[in-house]
Amino acid sequence: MILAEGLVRAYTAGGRTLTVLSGVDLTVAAGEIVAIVGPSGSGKTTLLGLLAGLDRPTRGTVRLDGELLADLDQEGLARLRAEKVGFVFQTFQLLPTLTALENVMVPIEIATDRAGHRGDRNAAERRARELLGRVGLAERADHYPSQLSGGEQQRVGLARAFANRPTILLADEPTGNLDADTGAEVIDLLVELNREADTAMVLVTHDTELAARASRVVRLRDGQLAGAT
Amino acid sequence: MSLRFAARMARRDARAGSGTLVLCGGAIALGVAALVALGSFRASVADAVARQGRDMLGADAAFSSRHAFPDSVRRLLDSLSRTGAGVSRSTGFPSMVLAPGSGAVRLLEVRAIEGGWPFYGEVETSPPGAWAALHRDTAAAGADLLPLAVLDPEAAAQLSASAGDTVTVGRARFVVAGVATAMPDHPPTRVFDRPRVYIPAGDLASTDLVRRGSLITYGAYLDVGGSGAARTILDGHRGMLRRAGVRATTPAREQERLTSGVGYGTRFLGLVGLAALLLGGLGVASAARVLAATRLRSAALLRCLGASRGSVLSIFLLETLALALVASALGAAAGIGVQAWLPHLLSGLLPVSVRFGVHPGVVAAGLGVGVGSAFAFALLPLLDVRDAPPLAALRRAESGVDAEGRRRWRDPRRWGAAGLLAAAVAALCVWQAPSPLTGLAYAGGLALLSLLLAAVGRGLAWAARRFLPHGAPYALRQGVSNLFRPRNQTLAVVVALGLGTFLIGTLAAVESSVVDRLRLATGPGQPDLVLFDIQPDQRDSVLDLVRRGGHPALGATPIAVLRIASLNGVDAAHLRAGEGRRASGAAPSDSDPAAGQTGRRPERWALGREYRSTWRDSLTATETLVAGRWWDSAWAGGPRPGQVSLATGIAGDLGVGIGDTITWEAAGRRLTTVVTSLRDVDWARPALNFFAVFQPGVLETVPATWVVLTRIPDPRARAALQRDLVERFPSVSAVDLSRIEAAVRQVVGTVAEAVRFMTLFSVMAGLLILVAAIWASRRQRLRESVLLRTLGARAATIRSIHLAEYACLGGLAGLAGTGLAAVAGWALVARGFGLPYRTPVGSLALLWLATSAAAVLVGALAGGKAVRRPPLEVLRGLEE
Ligand SMILES: Nc1ncnc2c1ncn2[C@@H]1O[C@H](COP(=O)(O)OP(=O)(O)OP(=O)(O)O)[C@@H](O)[C@H]1O
Ligand SMILES: [Mg+2]
Repeated sequence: MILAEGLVRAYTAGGRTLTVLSGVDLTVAAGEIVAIVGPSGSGKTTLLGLLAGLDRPTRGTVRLDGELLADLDQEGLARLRAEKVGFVFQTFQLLPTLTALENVMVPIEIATDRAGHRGDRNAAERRARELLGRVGLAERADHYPSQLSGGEQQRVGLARAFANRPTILLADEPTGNLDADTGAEVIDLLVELNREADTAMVLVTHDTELAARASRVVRLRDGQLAGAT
Repeated sequence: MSLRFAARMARRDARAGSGTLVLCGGAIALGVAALVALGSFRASVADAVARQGRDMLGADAAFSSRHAFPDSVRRLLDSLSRTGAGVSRSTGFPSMVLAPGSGAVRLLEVRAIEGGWPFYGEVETSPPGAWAALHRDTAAAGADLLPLAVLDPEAAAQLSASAGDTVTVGRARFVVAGVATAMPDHPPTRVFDRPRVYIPAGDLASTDLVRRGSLITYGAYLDVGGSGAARTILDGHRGMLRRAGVRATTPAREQERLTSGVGYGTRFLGLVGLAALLLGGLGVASAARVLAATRLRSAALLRCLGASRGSVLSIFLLETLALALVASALGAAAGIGVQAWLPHLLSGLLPVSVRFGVHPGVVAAGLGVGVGSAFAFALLPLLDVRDAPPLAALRRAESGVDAEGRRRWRDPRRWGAAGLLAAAVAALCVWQAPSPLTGLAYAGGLALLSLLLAAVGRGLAWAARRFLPHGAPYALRQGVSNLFRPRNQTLAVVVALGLGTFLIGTLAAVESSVVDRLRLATGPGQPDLVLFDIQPDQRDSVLDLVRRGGHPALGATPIAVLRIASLNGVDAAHLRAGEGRRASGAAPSDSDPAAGQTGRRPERWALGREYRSTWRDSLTATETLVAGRWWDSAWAGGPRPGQVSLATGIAGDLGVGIGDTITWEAAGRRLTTVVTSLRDVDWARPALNFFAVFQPGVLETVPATWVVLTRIPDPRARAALQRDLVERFPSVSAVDLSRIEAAVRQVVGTVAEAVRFMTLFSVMAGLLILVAAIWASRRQRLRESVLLRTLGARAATIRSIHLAEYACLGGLAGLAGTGLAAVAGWALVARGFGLPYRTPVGSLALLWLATSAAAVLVGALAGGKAVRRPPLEVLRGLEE
């Protein structure tokens, strides 16, 4: 599903070059959950950005579901994301002007918009409601993000991430802003949804509990990945 | 990509409501209202004029001339009448008319029309039937009865006369048969038109006023069975009519003249109204900038989730356009209502009575212009959301999102958007302006003004921060630095308020200078009564009459009416008709006798016009000699021709200079003169000035009339002298300059009022933008004030901070606006009108205070809320 080879990412700022990633190889198969751990500033988010095609590597290649990201332009990358990639963000990133239901519907709407057909709005809404039910927020469908707690917002974020049945799911510290109990709840949901959809999953986390649920944990240090159990 | 997703997202986003955008939409609405009001009004005038159709003239065509029709024209009229066409002759002239009943004397236009006119339309009188009675054979009615007259309403009002009263015209007396309430070829009385009195043609002679030298207009109305026939006749005889000095017109031409006149005027007003729309656009641009900034994170997320750049941009563009459409619709509705008020505002200047009307084309144009300008102004700032970097979604919320700023300047789309904006503004101005050049000049002027205001605003604000003493009160320092808070709208507000202030200030400056000028023209020492059309044999008696009343005779000036017969020996008719050898491409040469000293071709109008000229041996205070010598005794060119002095302007138009000869024609006599001097004449100053002044002894053989000026400050004495005059010298006319001044004052006042009214839209738009700016910064303001209060600041301190901020904002905008208004006032008055300019310091200072006060007031109202909200509630509400 995900195939990254020799990823290098260096930033040049003020005449000095900072090499954040210096040759990262990573393979994630369908249904696999890979947890990336590492100290703050080690480049976890940078790696995730490269895997999602949000950023271009200085060197190295990424293939998602067989497609070589380097071959795609910005619009091609956006299309790929819309079709195959789901995101969960540390800071939830719900659209504040949309209700919970509408937030979950957005990826479906973007995909149908791209496909250029009308799309079945009822089907989209049914799917979104079902997902909201799965994360236990059926009653809160019409609430705006500002009316939801942090944990609830993140559960909406999870529902949104799976809305389009992505083959790849990228999550950057999904429990980072949550207390332990809520975090555990979110982790359960994540694993459960993953199992149902057979999604290849990359989680960046500081959370040992979350890491423990992964099929594989890799450690990012000094710009390199070191495999672990 | 389809717009469906974008539209859905736009609707959702609009639900959250962008107050800033809504307020700036209000400014767009004001602009659309102004344009729709003027456009509807213009269309209503055109409708009213078109409705009048042939009633406009009461005929298919009309001729008029300052001379009795020559044989060629008479033959044409005779042949037309033989073939069954209706021909109606008219004679008109200005004359003093006395109403013995009220004692009122006025200079009116006397008209006598014989024949079947009006051929179209009706003359309506009160009491009815007066017009028909006027044309009944008076002789048949009995010799002992006085002939009848019909007055127009203004004449009746000025003479305080009504049906049954007597009026005296020249040597004849008439009984007023009625007052005409509607009459073809008789527009509602306008300020500068002489009110009219109609008398039977058969009684013209009895007035003893129709004779040589009187200012008579000869006319004829034709009924030839339709506009097509009329056009054929006019086209067929165009050359003959022109040679005869006859002006020919048709209802269609009159309609065009009237509508284009009103169109011209309302288009100038439209430019003032356009300022409101452009301010609205500026507001929308500013609001779009805020929208883009607040939605950048959402845009980044949508990009991260796979939305295309185009659809992300479309979301916010559609949101803005939908709002603009609603605003424009409201504005158009308001404009239709405002239209009803414009005729009232412009009364006295309109050629027709206007009916209220809704014009779909105008409304559609208003909507298009409103939405179009919103698009043009919003596109550039909204490009930011298009460039929202998707990677930002992964980063912390607090780190803020910047559009990829580095590459902005190299983005061709931004240049494209900026170009579109410039083109749209220019197109709008050209569309609204009386002429494309005026439109472009206006667009350029506005752009320059906005830049100046922005520069001045920015400079002053920078200076305020830079040079604010460290010891200044905390509130003041904080208030000033608030002008620089992120996402500030200082620039938009300074430009908006400044532009509003500028418009009012410029108008005030121009108006006060013009009114000053009027006062000067009729001030102490200046004549206030002009007696003219005095025959040479009446001159001494008239002067006597004036002096006996104890009034000063401020000079007696002879006036002779001349035409140019030839220039340097070349016939004027030849010069006018042939574009000459010059037009065929040959360069002017010394051997070309018509080429004067300047080598310029004489202008056709300058050759053809009538020259009212005088002779005297000294220059007036308003003239300066710029070339040659004033009555050169040593002149030895040719066989002693008379000498003439020309005003520099006309000399240029005639293409003559010192030493050129001009042969004049007056009353069939020719006299040759040589140009021996050129004078610069200050036409703006009140004095009797002439294009051509002759050396004494040259013109005396030509029939002339005299003008006598006097000054009688007491209006009753002034009226008494006019009564004496009309009784003893009925052919002498008198113009009361105080009446002219009042008329000019009324016109200036009406125009200023109309401009002020249109300015109001811009001012309100400016205030809306101020409110929008306050709205845009309310969260930050709230957070700051809560923070300050949590830290223990008193509510009063926070209030003073807001006060200082808005006093600064209003003060800077006002200062920039009034300062630039003073400059523009000078440019318009001194350079444009050539009048002396005095900066109206008092009113500009007042305006500055008012602008500052308005800003402070609006600021205080908005700030008050922030101070009253309890901190805890605010903190919770601030979670974004
Ligand atoms: N645009 C940039 N320009 C320069 N340096 C950057 C840029 N983005 C990230 N970095 C640097 O790259 C390094 C890795 O950042 P990254 O956000 O990937 O770390 P992280 O492992 O996700 O840390 P955390 O656990 O705190 O989220 C940091 O040192 C950061 O300062
Ligand atoms: Mg990170």
